[in-house]
Amino acid sequence: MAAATAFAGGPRWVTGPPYFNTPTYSVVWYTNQPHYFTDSGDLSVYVDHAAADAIVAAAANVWNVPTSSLTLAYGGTLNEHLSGANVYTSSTGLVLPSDAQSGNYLAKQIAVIYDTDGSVTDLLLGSGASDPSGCRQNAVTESVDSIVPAGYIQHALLILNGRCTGPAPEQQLQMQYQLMRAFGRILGLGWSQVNDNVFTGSPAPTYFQALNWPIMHPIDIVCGLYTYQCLPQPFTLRADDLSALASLYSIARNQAQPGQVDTLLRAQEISGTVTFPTGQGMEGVNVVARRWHQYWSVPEAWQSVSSVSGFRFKGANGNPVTGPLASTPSATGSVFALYEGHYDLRRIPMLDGPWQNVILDTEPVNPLYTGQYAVGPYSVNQVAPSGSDAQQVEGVVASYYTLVGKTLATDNASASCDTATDGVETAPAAIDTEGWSTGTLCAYGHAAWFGLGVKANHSLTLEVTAQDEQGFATMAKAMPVIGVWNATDARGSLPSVAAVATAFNGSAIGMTTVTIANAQSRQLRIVIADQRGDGRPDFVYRLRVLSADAVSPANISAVGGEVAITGMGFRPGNVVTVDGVAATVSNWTATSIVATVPSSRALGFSTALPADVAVTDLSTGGTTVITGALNYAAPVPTLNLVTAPSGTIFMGDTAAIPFTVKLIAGNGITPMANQPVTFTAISGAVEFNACGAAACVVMTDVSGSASTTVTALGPGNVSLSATSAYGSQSASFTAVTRIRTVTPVVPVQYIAADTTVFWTPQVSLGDNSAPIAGVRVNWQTISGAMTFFPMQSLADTQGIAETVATTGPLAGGGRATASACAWTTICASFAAEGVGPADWRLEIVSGAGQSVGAADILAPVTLRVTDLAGHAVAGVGVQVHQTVDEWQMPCPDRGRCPVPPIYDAQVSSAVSDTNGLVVIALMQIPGAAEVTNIVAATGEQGFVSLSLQKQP
Amino acid sequence: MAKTLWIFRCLCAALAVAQFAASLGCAQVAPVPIPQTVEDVLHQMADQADIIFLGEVAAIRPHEDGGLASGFIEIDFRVDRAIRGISGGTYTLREWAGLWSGNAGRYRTGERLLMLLHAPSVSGLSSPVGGLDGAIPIRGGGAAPVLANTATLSSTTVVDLRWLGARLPQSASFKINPILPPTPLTLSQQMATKSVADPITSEDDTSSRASVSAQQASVDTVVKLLASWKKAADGVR
Repeated sequence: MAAATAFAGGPRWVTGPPYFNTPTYSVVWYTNQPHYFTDSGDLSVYVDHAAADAIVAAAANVWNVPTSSLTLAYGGTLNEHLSGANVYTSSTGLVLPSDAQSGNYLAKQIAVIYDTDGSVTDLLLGSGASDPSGCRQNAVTESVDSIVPAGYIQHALLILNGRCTGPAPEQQLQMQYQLMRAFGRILGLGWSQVNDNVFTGSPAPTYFQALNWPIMHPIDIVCGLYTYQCLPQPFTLRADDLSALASLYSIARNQAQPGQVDTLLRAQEISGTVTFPTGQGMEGVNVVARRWHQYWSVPEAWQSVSSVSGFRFKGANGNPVTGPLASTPSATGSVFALYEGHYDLRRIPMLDGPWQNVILDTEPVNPLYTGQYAVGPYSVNQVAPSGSDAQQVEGVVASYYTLVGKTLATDNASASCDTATDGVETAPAAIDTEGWSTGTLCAYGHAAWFGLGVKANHSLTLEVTAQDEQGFATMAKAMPVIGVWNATDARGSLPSVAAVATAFNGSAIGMTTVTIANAQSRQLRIVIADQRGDGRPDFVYRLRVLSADAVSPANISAVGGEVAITGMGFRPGNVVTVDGVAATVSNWTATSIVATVPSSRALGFSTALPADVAVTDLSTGGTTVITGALNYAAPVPTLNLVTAPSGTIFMGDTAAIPFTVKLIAGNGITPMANQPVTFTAISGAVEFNACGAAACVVMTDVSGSASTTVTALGPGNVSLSATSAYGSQSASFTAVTRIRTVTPVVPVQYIAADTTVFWTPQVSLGDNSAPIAGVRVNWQTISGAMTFFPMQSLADTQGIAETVATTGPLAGGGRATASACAWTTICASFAAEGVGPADWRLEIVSGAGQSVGAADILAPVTLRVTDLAGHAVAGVGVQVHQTVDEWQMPCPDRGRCPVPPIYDAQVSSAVSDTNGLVVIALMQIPGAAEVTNIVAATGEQGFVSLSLQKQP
Repeated sequence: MAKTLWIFRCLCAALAVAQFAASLGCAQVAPVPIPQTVEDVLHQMADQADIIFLGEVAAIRPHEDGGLASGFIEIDFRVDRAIRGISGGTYTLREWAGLWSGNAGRYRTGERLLMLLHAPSVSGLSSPVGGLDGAIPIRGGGAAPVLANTATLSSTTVVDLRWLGARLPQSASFKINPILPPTPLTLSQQMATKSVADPITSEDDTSSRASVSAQQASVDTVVKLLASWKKAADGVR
């Protein structure tokens, strides 16, 4: 393999098993001088044959550079113009003219087809594929149609879509640009990532970053109609392109032919390994080099050359789920562990001067660079590097400098590879009893094997979620696939029970899932592996086995009830259904769920039945079902409560709400008529009014109902029962005694003898059952001189009723009595009693001892008339004498006390009110210093005197 | 080092389209509007597609005994949602084997895809619109389960439109970094253990084509959009 003389970055294919004979070499052309042969016709009405050849030559010559041993040369024309007329299908497949076929590779290595009318493009890619609207993708179609197991490219096709040319020169330049990139591909160059911010736009790229954005970038940026206009010097290879080309077609030291230079003349090569702390190579890390001039204080602000670690290693391999790789040329890469983290910056060009430094950085490959845009060995999905960039400086490197074995270790990368809890195929590990466990697919090719026993008619769901170093779900690490066998299946066979060969089929990020039905009890063997057959310390996975094992109780009445479901993999929020009808879940743990299941009638059945119980995780779609887990008993007639008395009922009252039950047949619909229902009081004394007795049998009517009202006969808690042959219902209430009262506010009113007095008797009403406002009160004389008007009145909101009584004249000691009755029979009596003049007494209630300033006003004086026992006496006349004297100094100790002049004098009278009170309006001279003298007298012995002062 | 501020032709869609259209007075090429949103991109691709469906790869069968260039690969899809050109059930895509020369993983069994396909040609061969960009991945978009968390999220599958997002226009204007300081340094100064200046420091542009969570949409949303769009007339294309 003369062309693959050195390990380098950037090959599109690397040899390896099973297709290639010898591993680890870049796949290159079998000759360093492949020739291209152009179609003999025109490319389009705008681009004739000669112009088309010029476009092809310009695109091809970009790859003829002094530092590479490759010469891509024009070899002549094909024998014909290819079109839909001579490219067609036959019974054996697609037919191309013989000199464009791969079998003609010794004579014509690269066939360039001028597809003038797009018919060939349409024929190969589908009707309408040549449409000019798709020229950014279909202007040039390339195919390397012969790669041999020895690792050589023998033949390639390039199809130029003539419909993508036109009168505008830019259209031809755009085709030349796309053809240049296609030539790079058929020469064996892979896509490359350097200064990727030119593609991502973040951070904003500089001119020099764009100038060093490789021609072999995976995806064009679009800045207008023509993508070649989106980068500077679009027809010039970058340092990274030259490095990649040199990795395939290098010139060893002192081997350059005329017009060539040694690949490493004024350049360096640095290679080595990106590793985990465990020593395992870390694949898929983009290693980039920046140059640092010997006289500059900082390195260049752009990347120059790149190499993806593990580029010679297999990015995709077989696994226990899919079996070994198919033997095709695309099964690229070796499986030697030495190359798992290997990188090779094949040609780092030198700045001026005798030496330079080189800065090495590591970075992830853009996750968009997969599939047809893949950069590096991982094609299906990129893997985020573990840890962060650990920058290194390789100092003072000169022309021809070659460094082998430069180890790069990222900071804080995953450092353990503990798979002790994983089983192996011959001895699978047990599943964690809670159904949740975490493991690591480490090292390369590792698979985790588990054993699990399942019961008949139980289904379960396996969920495997890839996690990153922080435990977050991710699609940028492992790609879990799942295989399931019967434990008795032969080792090494493909899964017989279930297989998910493509990762991430779940509805949650990073999840692969499969649900397995089990008609019979069996032991399963389960494997978790990486889709690519990979395995590394940062391939963490979270396994969940969602499996319901049993339901308890398994037998349940037709009305449903609470059950416990045991199993594994449960979590809060999981939903339980019985034959598809939701149950009410009250508690979750990883191994149990408590739920109240619906009645069989809710399931749509009126007979005994077995029902399926399912636990579902709505967030993942995972589910586990136990078929026939619950046995519902046959439904029976039911006695249902319709209404019942409750709360408090007064003794003697009939409850407003009757005790009513309804008898329904087992189908839940049909009423059962003419069935006896016995109403009894379990405690308390009642009368069932349906039959006027303490116990009562009532026949159900046509609606199935039996009903009676209930009268409470005694106080206390009352418990009732309605019983039929199909069940019973109960009711309860509290019976209380009714208490009503009428109480006089003043039981005895004392009045002056021989006098007629008007006063207002009041009674207070009380009732423990209801509000009392509005209750009518009848006032009635029992004896003596007392009359009322009105004789009926209503209680107010405070429960007070009043009227006006005319009482007297009564003799001293004489009485008149009356009654006030409410609710007809509840009465209170009160009286009026005469008090003779000999028993009247006066007492000062307020206003005595006043001494105020001359400018102030004396307050009135209030007296009360009482009898000898201190009862207030109403209707008593009181004589009041007042004089107003001049205020003077106190009398001297010796000598005569002067008599002050009297300013005024007055005699008046007043009558005591119902409370015996008399209020005296005082004589006084405004603004004058004076003394008011008061003498009050009543009856034969009632007398008080007092003096009040207004001092100067 | 050149100080010239090199500015590429700025994106000016209207002007470019107008110029392009004018230049094609007698050409067979119709101007294609430059999409401004991912939805525009999808719409344009849908216009070019004769067959659209959402399905899962059920089987892959190579027929390349006569060599890649004359062979073909059959890919069976179990169609979950037929949107245009087919009625559902199973669909077999027959691709030119030459497309598979360097891409073993064009499709994988079990893979779920939204396929926008050209109609088969007279040869029976076809392929996705816009290369494999017309085979758009479907993936899970819901939160991963954690034992302690309450599982109340509903299942979510999304259409991964990130590659279509890469077809959106962006400016090709580049900024010039300050010229490097000419101050000579000694070797020891260069080799000092100071951190090396990171050249990829960002300005305030935070957009990134590697981090485009916004460029995904629910399957239902995309299917409804596709179903609502009529295929562009052939005369327009």
